[in-house]
Amino acid sequence: MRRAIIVACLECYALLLALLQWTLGVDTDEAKYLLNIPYPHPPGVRWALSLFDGLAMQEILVRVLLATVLVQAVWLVWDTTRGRTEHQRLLLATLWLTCGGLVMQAGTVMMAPLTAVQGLALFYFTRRQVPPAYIGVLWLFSLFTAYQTVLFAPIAVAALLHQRCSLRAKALYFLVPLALLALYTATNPLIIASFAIHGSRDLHSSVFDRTLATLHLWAIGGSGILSLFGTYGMFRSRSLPVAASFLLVFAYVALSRHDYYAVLFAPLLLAGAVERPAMFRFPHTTVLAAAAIAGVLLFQFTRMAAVSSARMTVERLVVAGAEGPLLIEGSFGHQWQYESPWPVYRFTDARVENAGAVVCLERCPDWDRSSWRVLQTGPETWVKLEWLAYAMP
Amino acid sequence: MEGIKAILCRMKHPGPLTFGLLCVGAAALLAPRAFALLPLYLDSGVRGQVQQALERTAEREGLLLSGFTVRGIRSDGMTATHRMHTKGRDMQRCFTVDFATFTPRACDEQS
Repeated sequence: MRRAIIVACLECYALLLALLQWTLGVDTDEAKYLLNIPYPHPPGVRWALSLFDGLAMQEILVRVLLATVLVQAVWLVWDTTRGRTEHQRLLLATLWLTCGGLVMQAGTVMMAPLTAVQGLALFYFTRRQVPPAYIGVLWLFSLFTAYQTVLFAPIAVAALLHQRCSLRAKALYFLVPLALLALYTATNPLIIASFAIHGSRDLHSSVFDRTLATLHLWAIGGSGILSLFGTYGMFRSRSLPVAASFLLVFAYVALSRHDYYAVLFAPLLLAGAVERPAMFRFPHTTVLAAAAIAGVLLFQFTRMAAVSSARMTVERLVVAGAEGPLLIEGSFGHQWQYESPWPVYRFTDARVENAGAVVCLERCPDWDRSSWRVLQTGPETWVKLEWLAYAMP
Repeated sequence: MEGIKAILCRMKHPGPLTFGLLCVGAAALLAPRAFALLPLYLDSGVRGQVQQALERTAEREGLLLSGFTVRGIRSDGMTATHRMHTKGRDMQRCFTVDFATFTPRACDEQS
């Protein structure tokens, strides 16, 4: 009964975080997964999410599902810390639930939170005897969820080495999934092109700026407290696989500079803390401080987050009674495809005649606008008069 | 057979079989497609032509590049499908593009 109540409370927490993300609308990366657009990550989870495609509640359903995975992963933390005192286990579980990576990423339709949970599961297997094939299956599934799983390769190796099995079998379980991932990459040139584009992103920033930005994400990832104690724990306990993965994640975040990678630090910091839980001298104060920091992060996040302009514009178009394809001038993200109930095309002169609305994210091109009326100015949006007349007789 | 069993440790768990089936299934699905795209990786000239063909088709039709999947590459042209990713059922179109003119044609328009 006690466990059922805890599960229900955790689910309420997951629901709350998912609802918060839902109010902000879908961003371009999230739309890729919701619409099963085949880049940048392999199709393991993306394909599963596409099974919900077409459901009116797809977005919120997926958000709740992914938030649940991240929040309920606390049971994995609980089991990983078996053998520690009840106080230490509670403390580590609370640190997982209040770490900034979880608070700010639970409920997003992204692969990074899932990678974090998969990293945590791999760490769990470094401390448990299981059939090594299970680790092979987890490694394969994790790699086909997102490329960044390779950052946890040292932990996967440690988990396999911990099992009773021949070295040849361990090598097979580790290397075959990597080979399959390479084969998948070869089948999708768009991914390779996307790597080339993202690899050259933000090249002008200095090493100092990158390090500072990465430290900022490291601090957010563990809400400061877990960041400090987790890092100290992993290096003090000489946990080589965790430390190696940590350095890989640090380098990757420094190169890619996406805020949502903060969550990748969370399982590693927790693993570091699990190695030396005795370092928490004031557990009650630590829990309170972690909860307070999580609250502040959440408040800052909601204050700074803005509702997607794609959602607002499409809502206005729907209210105005627009119909037909939506044309967009300028570079646009996949969120437009997700929010729009109509097909979305780049603006071309040939398509204007059959279009229902035109959104200009850059300077509007010229076309015969005698049968068009401007609906809003930010972003500049035009609707065909016939639809407005239909909506407002 | 004994060797495979030894490699996959003991067969008393369903794990080795699941792992083996998943790997063989994935390889069987992916290998033919990777083979069809081999010219893309072996010949930089073909790579440039495919890129140009996709970009021109996307520009002309107002489509997003991310919706294209290259299905086959010949010495004189390529075949690609475009999926209009939308909520619900996606509309899919097939194009063939001649490398000489880079003009896309619907697959069913081919003589």
